[in-house]
Amino acid sequence: MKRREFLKLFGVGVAVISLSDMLPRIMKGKDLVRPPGALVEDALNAVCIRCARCAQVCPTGAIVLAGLSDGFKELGTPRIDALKGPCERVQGRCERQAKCAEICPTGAILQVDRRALKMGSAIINADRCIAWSGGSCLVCYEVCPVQGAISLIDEARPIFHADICVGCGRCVYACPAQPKALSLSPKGERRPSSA
Amino acid sequence: MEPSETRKDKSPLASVSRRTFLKLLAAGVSGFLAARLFDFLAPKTIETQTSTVTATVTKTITATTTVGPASKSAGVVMVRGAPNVGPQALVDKALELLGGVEKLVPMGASILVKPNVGFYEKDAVTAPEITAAVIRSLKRAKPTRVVVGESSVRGYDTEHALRVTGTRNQAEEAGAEVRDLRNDPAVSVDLPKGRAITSADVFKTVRDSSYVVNVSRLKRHSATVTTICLKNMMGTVPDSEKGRFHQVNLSQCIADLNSVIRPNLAIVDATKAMTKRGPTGGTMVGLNLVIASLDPVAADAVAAEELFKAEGVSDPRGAVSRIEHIQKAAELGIGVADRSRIEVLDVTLS
Amino acid sequence: MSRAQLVRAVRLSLPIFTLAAIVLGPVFHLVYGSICTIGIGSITLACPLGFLQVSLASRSIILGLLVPVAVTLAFTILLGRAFCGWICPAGDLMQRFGEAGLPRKASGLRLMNFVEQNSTRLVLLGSVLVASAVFRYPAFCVVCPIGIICRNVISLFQYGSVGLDLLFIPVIAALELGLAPWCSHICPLGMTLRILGQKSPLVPIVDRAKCIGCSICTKVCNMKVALLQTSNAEDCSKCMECSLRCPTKAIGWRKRTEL
Repeated sequence: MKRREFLKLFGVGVAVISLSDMLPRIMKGKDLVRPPGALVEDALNAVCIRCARCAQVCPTGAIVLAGLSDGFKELGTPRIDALKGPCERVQGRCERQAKCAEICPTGAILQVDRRALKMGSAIINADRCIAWSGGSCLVCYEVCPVQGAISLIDEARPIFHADICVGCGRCVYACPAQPKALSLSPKGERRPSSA
Repeated sequence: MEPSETRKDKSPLASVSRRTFLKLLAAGVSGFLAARLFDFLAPKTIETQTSTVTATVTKTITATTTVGPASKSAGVVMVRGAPNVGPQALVDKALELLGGVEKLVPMGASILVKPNVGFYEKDAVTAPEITAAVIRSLKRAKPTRVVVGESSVRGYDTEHALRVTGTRNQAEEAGAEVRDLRNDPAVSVDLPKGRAITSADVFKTVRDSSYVVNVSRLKRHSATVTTICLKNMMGTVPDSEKGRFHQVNLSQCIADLNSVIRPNLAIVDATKAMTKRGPTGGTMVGLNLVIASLDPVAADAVAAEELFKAEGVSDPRGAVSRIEHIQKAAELGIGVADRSRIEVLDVTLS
Repeated sequence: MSRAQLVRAVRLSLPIFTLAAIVLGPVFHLVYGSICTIGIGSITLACPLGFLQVSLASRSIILGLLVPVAVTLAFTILLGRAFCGWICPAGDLMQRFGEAGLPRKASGLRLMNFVEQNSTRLVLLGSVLVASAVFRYPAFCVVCPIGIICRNVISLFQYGSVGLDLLFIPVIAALELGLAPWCSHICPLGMTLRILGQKSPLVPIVDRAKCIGCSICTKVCNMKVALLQTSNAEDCSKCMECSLRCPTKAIGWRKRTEL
């Protein structure tokens, strides 16, 4: 039955290719904050072999692997979760070189100049902020490693400057409000397009 | 095709003898547990009699002001040094003026040295040379152990901070054990005098130490105006507790914490002081000054005044009287903040 | 312990040991990565199918993977599909699923049984590669059960949580039940290793003088190699079940000689 077999094989091929197209459309990708030096989104999703080495080597545990809810194409790729830890490329254990970029075998994450780093921006929800509600807290201002990213109104309430903020997430991690008054967004990120 | 073939033929792996499998599993698990056990049993200082750090109410300072080796304990001593005077000399003189370590520290004490190593920046932490100098002086009192303990500001890794500031190296060289308190279990301590909080979780090492030496750096602070000895005690509580303090009322919580977890000896590292802005990013001013007292509130008040003087503030004492956590600590009876009731011994070494 | 028990015990523990190394390796700074790309000290190995997918998806040869893939290639050329038989954590899982759950009669309903084993797999592998090239992402890496197991084991250990993608495993196992055995008829990585390792010198050879034609070797073979019909054991995972189970010890493991 050569013809029947051929049709079955053809069906299998079409099924696989259709699924590969449909599943990313059904489970769409969210805007994720990526490790410092990660390629632009399309290139990252193409080149990342989902080996998890970057997540293992990150000294703060900030890198987690994207789940299904982050998108089908994005599954298994690295993203920054500021609630797990800050990225220390700008200040800390990765000042000399980003450990994630060093260990990535495919070049999905590249070493970039930490002075030109922009992973995203911190966003404040003033309703949840202790300082904006009249309390005394300036932990975000205290821990921010980039002078000028956060400034104070009346020496008591923080405002965030996305153009200076590097997006390291330290303020998000340290924020003592419950629920957190800060979140990290990829807004304004600058990423290399290729090696 | 044999009619009697069974499912068993199709599952060769299922025929691994249960005994073999159990043996292998036991071997693997024991190996793993042995490694963990080894790590767990790694040599630690054996703790002797533990005693809680208790609060003592400071009465009005009465002190004699004679300077010299025979002087009795003063309220607050300030030792300034000419540029050639090193940290050990400053620390030694300060402790001598307070009565000498042998008189201050009970023999066989279990000492906790609490420096300020909250950040990665060298300017923002207690100079490691001062921490080392304090350890060396304390050793003369023949303590059972000297532990340097710290838990850094939320978002900073204590181990990395201890390492990159040189604290771990220098403290270990001086003969102390250095601990990241975040690895400690937390124990609950009642704060009966507390106004904002009536109990707090504290790291076990702190509660189990019989003598606490607070070695803070003189700095400004965005939220509490200054961070010196009293604020430095925040490194003795877990991150969750630090968060709670900010949620409830930071200044009152600092005072409440110090009402029970009170340092026995307060030393302020003002070799360099952070002015204008803090706890990071301020302008460093070289003062080559060490301030010491048995009263942490008095130490804070005097040190804060020095800081404002260095900044050129017009009414330094007035500025100190507006620092909330210092005033609240005085209200709780932890110490004296009123400068007119503090006896200060100001000495210059050349 | 008999030889058979020893072999089976090692085959059972190696995948577990591999996962343990993946989880504990970074703690001791000895091993980093997962089966997709794993570095043991200074030696790195990488999945050849992964390499193909990301290269096609990015329309460039991923240079950083060349040496690790070459190392894997060397092992595969020598040992064929030994990875499948000794290291792969997924195959083991799904084999048991399949063996345990499949009623004898239902195997006749399997779709793939009507379709020739090799051409099906070639089409699957080809479609995966085409999809990667066209849609610009490694289409199989995302759903690969090996990758899913490794990443979830790592997540579990590091953060105490697992992902929804674990649900792919029962889906793929369901394919095993309803369609065809995964390892021998579906797995694109298995097919890749078969193609790369087809000239492996390590193959089971039947001594016809001793053979009594009972076909137990064929029945126990995970890779469905019909050893009596063909000397073509390209799918052989070197699991040794055939030689261990042969009642007359007619199967030997010798270097392939010119037949």
